[in-house]
Amino acid sequence: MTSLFGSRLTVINVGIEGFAAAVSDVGADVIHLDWRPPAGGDGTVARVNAMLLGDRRVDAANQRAMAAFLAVDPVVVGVRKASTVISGLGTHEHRLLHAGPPIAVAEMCGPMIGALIGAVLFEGWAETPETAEALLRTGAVNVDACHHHQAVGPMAGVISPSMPVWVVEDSHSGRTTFSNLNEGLGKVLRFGAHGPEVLARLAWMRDELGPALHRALRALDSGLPLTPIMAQALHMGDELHNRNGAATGQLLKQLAPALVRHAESSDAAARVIEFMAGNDHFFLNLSMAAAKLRLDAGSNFEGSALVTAMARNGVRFGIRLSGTGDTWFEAAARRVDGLYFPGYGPDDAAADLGDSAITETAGLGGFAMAAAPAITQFVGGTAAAAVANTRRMEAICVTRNEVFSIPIIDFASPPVGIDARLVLDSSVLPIINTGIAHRLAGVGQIGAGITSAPEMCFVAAIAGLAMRMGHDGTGPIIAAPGPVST
Amino acid sequence: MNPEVRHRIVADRYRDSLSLLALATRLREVVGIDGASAVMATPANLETVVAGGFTVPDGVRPNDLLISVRGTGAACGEAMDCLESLLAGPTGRSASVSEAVVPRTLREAMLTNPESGLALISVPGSYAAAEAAKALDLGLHVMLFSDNVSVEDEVALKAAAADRGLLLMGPDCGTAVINGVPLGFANVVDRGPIAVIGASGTGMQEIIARIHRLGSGVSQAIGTGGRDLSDAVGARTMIQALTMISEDPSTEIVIVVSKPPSAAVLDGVFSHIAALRAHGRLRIPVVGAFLGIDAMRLAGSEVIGASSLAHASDIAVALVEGRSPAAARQEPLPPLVARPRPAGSRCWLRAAFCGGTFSYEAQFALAEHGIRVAANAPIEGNTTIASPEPVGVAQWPDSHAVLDLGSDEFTVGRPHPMLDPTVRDDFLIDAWCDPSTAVILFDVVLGHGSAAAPVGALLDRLIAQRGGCPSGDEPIAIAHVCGTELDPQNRDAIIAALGGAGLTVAGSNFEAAAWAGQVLRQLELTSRLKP
Repeated sequence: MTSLFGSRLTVINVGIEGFAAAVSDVGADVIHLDWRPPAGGDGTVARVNAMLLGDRRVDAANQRAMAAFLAVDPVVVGVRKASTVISGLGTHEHRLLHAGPPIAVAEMCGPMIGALIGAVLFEGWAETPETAEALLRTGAVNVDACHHHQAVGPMAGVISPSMPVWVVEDSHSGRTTFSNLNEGLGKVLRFGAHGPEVLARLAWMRDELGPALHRALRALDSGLPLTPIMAQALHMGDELHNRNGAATGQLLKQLAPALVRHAESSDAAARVIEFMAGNDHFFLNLSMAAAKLRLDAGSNFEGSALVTAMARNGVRFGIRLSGTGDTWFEAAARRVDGLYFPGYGPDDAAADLGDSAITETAGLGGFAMAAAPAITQFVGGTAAAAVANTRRMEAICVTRNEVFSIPIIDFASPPVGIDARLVLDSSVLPIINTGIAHRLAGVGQIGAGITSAPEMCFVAAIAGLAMRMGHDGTGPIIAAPGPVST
Repeated sequence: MNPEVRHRIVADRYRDSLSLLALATRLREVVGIDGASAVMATPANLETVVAGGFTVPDGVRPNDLLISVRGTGAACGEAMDCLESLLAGPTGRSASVSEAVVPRTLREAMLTNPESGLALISVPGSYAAAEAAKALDLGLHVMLFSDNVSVEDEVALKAAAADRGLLLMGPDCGTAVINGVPLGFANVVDRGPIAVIGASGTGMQEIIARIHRLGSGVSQAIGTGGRDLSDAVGARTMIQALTMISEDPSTEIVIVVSKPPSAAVLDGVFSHIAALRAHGRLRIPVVGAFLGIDAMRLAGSEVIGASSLAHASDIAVALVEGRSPAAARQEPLPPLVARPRPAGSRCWLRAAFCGGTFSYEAQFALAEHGIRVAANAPIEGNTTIASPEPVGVAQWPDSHAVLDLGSDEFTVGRPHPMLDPTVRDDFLIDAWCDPSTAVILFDVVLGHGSAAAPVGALLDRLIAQRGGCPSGDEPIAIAHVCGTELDPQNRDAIIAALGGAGLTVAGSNFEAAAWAGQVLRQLELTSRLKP
């Protein structure tokens, strides 16, 4: 609170622009807001959102959720067969996991169906793609969202019982999250390809890569802490969603001696190291699992407007809030604005797909874009645009993640913790750096670019939170007297 | 015609895959090019080149940069020309990484400017209360210019503001000057020892502009919003502002001004002043200009009563200069001389105001001369103009009439006449052309936010009506210009223009109305004396 009289007055002008000029004419400081009607112009939601913004219970819950988020220390402790560590993925349960909010098989997009077919074949539940698809469509094989099983996967995000998965553990609480191993580019399962070479690679990952990584990790005393690698990578030009080259290099550097020492043969060691070195996105799945681990810690704080998941299933984009339990708030998934590989264009693209937006939800990717200016080339941008994107995300974040810093913005920490109230208030939508999948199964990645979370998800989420917190839009616009405390 | 294919190999030149994708995209934008690829010629990348329908030239090595285009011969030539500058790339000399991000929300503005003290809110009414609530939660004082805020929201906002020790001016607060900074529709005035607290935008403008013209100045001008002195709101802002002003070391006199207030609420304001005095917190004189409140009501209230807006300024300046308030007793009106008298058939007053408070004050001044009028916002004792037919189009009733052109029926779907005086001009020209018009009365409001040329169009139309030379039979036109010579429109220049066109310019709104009353009274007497 400032004393109004006798001090130098700085005015924030909201509305008629001419009033700002009158203020600056007399030499006073004025900030003219680039204001726009909140909640996309829906007056009722805008009013309810203003009430939530003034509700101290929400702020307090956000603080508790963020504290839990920031307290997490993600450490990769092993690579295990999914069926042995992920609940509900037992060999006899005939269940597969996929990216995004839950979706019926009948609604799924091409790449996701293709990937599920590949997983059925990989598990040996069917001999041909046709019978595999029939098993899926008749419900003989269950599907569920990775997010419902402490797991995340990029693009189609398919995880099957015998796949190797990263096990990332919070060294304080012992809680764990999981992600599959990254297959590289080209014809790969996560873009829906399921030909013999795809299945052969998956088998090699199961039989040689996974165990080799596991032995190397076990050889390190208490696993490999991920935060130092991620902090370093942000200094080296990664944003840890669509650019992971530096982090992959750091991972390889840390694991290489143990990989060699505990390899079954020097050839086997060379195959593993070559595979990791040949895939700049190898670290992505660890970045995602670490993000998921932090966000799970921030989940289920009653009243909190913190966004704890953003995920896409290729048809719909879904978000979850800490204060609304397991509910998904969904809207149609968008197209991605970006650059296409030779021979492809926007007409070939699938809608936004994958769990990898968990990185943005945790303050990486688009939110840390200032660390990776090269990413903005996807949309013809400049280094300044990368910085502006990170700065812009401050408008919708609860705090900054002081564990990380970004050189180009004078080592400031990137914003973290999306508050759904702030998204609706500012109409600043979370920015997401992402790959573009071909809309047909198995073609693969055809480009990369930038997209944003649909505003309608946040409108629905705020309506849900407001209902739980007892705001129906009819009460006073501001609590009086004084803020409510809990 | 078969498309042509051309390759360009740049030996041992490394470019990252992203910038090469961007480069290929630029090449595809050349008209006539239907395919382009740019890659480092690694075996994996060459597969994508082949997949894109190109052949791979012989002799290319993994560390080479390979660019391929396909299209018409001319297009391929053009693409290869473009390529040279694309490969050269930007110089980087003009690069800046500090692209400004303009804040969209109050919270965002506070992140970068935590010293901000006040939010000036003028967004549409349906969003205004919410913005004010957010501002208060961020610890900002608020001037709420917007109207169409519900009474319930107003009361909640004012209670919350008081609870947080913050001032909420408005809603529908048109004018304020805080620490010398003009907010909303405000005149440019010198700083000085006089504070004004008002539930009336133009009323405050009249008072502060006159203080400036009398050679003194304004410490603070605090708008409360037009509804503040209603029973529902209970003068919450005025009472809080009085407390704040009592603690402002730069204020030596305070003027309180309002349109006709609720009697009970006025008593509440008086008791607050008395309480502040009793506790030794308010040691400065309080001057009150409450339109329509009899001076007797102020007896014993510790408030010095003023008989008009201008009179309030006169009293305050007299006190500043160490003279007694009685020294500011209003001078008798100078007679209107050397003006053509209206001929016999001219009998009606036609008054059109942009400022609502001016319309009220004029009606009270006219009533003192026994002139009763029809008005769209009548004071007690006056009649209401039958609406909507005569109102909204430039047509006057057959009676004395006073119009407040800033009221809702005139501003639906068009700008307020202070912003665009066309509607006022229409009424005034219609009155000028009407042979029954005896006196025309109007205001011109200057200052930030008001029309840049408030009388130009009016005078052009008036001169056109006269046909070049003033005739003997014209109505008397009396204007009042609210503003200062420092305002963007410059009051001196506006007065010179009005005078040059043969209009009479009064020193205040009250004086203009009193003059009109005097003339009308004389006309009535004359017509009665005539057989």
